[in-house]
Amino acid sequence: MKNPLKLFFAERKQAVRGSLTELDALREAIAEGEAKIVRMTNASIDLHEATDALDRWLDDAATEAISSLNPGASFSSRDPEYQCLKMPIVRRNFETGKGIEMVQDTSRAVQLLLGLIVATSRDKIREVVVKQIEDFQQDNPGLSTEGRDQAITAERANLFRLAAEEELLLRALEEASVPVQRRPQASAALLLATSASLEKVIAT
Amino acid sequence: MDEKDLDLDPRRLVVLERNAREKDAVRKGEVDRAHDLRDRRDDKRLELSKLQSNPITKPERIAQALAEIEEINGLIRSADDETAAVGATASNAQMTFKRAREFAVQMGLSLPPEIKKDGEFFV
Repeated sequence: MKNPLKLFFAERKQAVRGSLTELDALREAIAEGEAKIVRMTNASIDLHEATDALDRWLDDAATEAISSLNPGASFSSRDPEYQCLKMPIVRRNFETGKGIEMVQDTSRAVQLLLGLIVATSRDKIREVVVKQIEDFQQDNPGLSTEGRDQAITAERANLFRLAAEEELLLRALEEASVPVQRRPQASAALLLATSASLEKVIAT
Repeated sequence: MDEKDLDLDPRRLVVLERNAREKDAVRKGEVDRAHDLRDRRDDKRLELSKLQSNPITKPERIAQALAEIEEINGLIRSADDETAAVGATASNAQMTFKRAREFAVQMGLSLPPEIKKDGEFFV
């Protein structure tokens, strides 16, 4: 006949080992869930939102160029000097290590020129850029903002359930005098929660 | 469900504090054990040097004393490892209790009398 005390300790050891394996698995799932939230937070927007952003930019660039260059008024002017599209190129004094230098600032002119090109060839530019967005999204699929927010909320709820399960398991291990450590980043509310309410969280 | 839906029980602080105290006692026990082993090793070393300075000591006696010192060194190494492990568990238990207590104060829960008075706080 087997020694019952020996059997008891063997069973207990087995149970503790099982619980510790379970704890490892829970913590792995928690780390994976947290990483998933970070990935979702940083994920790009989806194709639909990206093309919306492109359309907004195309509209703004064209509108800005036309309204700034104001060609209608320029060419309607009686003064031939104004009958042209004049790009705003400004001279600026630029402080260098060796003193003050005069530079021509063409940044606004380039922006307006780009806007003018958009105003005249919007469809072609759009076609090229949309193709680029599609190629990018094929390798880096984006998430719609709404879809992303929903997925993050669902993942947070899942993490909360896992953390409740972890806390209950830690309490059981502590009662069995198994030394365990709590994750410092785990919610302090879980530490004070009644076991019954933790059970309720897990059941949801 | 989220944190707001949890039923909080400030009596949990008593459990967490007791746990922190127990882990600290284990840590102290391990520190004492490593200390005792070092004392034992010092005694053995003294014994060895006496044996070595005595011309009639048999070489086997010296070899035996050296082996004993080596054995104690092994015990000291494992005691030190154990001290580090239980030390980590003890400071984690202390931190956990502190975190729970701060949260309880922040939530305006009435703290159990056992841990309420400032002077009696363990950590």
